[in-house]
Amino acid sequence: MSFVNCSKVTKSYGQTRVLRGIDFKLEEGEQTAVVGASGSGKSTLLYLLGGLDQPDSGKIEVGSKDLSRLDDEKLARYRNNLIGFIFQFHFLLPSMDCLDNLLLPAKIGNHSLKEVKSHVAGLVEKLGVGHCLKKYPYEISGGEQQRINIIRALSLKPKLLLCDEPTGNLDSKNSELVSTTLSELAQEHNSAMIVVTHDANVASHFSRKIVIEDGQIIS
Amino acid sequence: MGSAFSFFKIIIQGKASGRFLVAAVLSFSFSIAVILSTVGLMDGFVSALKTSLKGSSGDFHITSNRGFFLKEDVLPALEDFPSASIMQVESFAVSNGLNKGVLVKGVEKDEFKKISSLNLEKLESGVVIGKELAKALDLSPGDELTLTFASDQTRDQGGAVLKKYKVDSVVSHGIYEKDLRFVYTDRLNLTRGFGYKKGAVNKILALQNPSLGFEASQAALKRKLGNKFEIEPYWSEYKTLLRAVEVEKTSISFILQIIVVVAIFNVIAFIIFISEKKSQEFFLLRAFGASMKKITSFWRGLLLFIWFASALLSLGLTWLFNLLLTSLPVFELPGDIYVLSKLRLELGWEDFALVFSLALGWILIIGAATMWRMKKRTVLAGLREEFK
Repeated sequence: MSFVNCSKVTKSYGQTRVLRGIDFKLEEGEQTAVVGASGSGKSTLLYLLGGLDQPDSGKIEVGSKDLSRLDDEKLARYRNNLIGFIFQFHFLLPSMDCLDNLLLPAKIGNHSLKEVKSHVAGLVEKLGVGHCLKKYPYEISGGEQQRINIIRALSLKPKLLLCDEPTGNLDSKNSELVSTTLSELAQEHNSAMIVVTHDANVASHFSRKIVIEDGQIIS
Repeated sequence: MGSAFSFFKIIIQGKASGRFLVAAVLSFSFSIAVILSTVGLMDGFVSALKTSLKGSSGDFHITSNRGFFLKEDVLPALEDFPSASIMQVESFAVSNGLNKGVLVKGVEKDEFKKISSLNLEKLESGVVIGKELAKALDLSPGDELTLTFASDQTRDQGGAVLKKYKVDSVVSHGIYEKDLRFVYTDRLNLTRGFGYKKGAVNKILALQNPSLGFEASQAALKRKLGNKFEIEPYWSEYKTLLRAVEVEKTSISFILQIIVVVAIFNVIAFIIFISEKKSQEFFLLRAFGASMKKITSFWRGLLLFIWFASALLSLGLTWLFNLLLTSLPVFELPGDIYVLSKLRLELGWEDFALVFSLALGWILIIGAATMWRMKKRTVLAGLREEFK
């Protein structure tokens, strides 16, 4: 059985049918890009996989968990333990310095801070953002912010990394750096990864590409 | 704990949020303090009135339904109760071209000092008057005062009898009305002047028997004296006022909830401000794995913190008000409105329980409504709306 199984997933917002029967599988540690025009439903699919919303019909299973059967408490635990989110905007909280931002998912889930800190320290060194830890997000550059964002997403060693336009806000040099880093780190952590993008250069880093058009997978 | 602290740090981040939180707590605590002070003032009024009454007139007032009676006739029944007999008549006090309706109380000073803390030591053949009467008639010890009594109508056709007295001293009862109206003189002089028998009295003041207690003493007196006598507790002459104060206290406590509601608007403003300004953070926390239950618990904790901090601060403000009330002359209440010259706050646990629980009720209702609004949005809808 695959790590991620989506079967006949539909989702509408009001009268708008955003997803029209998505069937999709992803193996453990597999990486894929989801491409499509704006409004095609690719981000909606990503958020449904992340347990941030529920499909109208169909079934989503991640790591043998049927997301539709999980209550709010279990979904929250699922998001905390299994999922790493990377959004287009870094969403770093301005009230905390970068280290506190990195440790936020661990604090929310009551994980051992000692273990998480030691794991995060390795990533911080690898991505070269050690000098940012005591700084607040507004004191560092956009590229550094996105790297902190990536470390935060990987801080709890997620099994599934969900990235929504992770390079959408970066210049081409930083975009290339972030794409490569993401791919390498996901591989190192044996995390499955889905990257939603409309940037062909970013998509080219992934051997598998899913194209969504009008709420359906066309290739 | 770690996550709760992180949540709190997120909430109060930024000068505006922190200041808003302080303002909400301040205004809420001020409102609670106003209610506590009002309730405490009323309880203090009742307590001060009773203490003053007790101090000047013993525990029980004994009167006969025939009006006058002979002291000797009731003394056997009072042997276990310290008592003082009184002959009291209405009169007009005239002096320096001014006059005032007064109640002249004929007392035997040695007997009277056993049941009253009022100092009548200087009473000789003249009168001792209340301090407000002294002020009203511009009198000092040694001055002369004329008392006008109604005479026996059959003999003098309703004419008045004028008697001159020297003011022996001026006393304070702690009750404005008594200080303005009461004149003490020697009972035997008074009864002689009216041509009454030596032992004629129309009131007896008695103290409770300490071994029996208040209620049992009253019952024992009633039993010994029989139905021809009324035995009233010392506050009976003010019982209508005291009952009115009790009713007023309860109704005012509820009416003053409007002040809490006004303060609640500040708390609502804070809650709305926080829920609007910080909703990005709330939804991000949810995306990272904070369950609604966890956020609700934190939210409830924040509201409880506002309530607790406000309650604590209101205790301080109430204490401060009490201090000002008892130490600054400007806070002395005008005597023609209140019968007491000085008040202090008296608050029992039930007053605190009532005021604090009502305040808590309000804050929880508002908090629940805000949380309900937040729960209506899914994490995704919240994230999309907040980060678009």
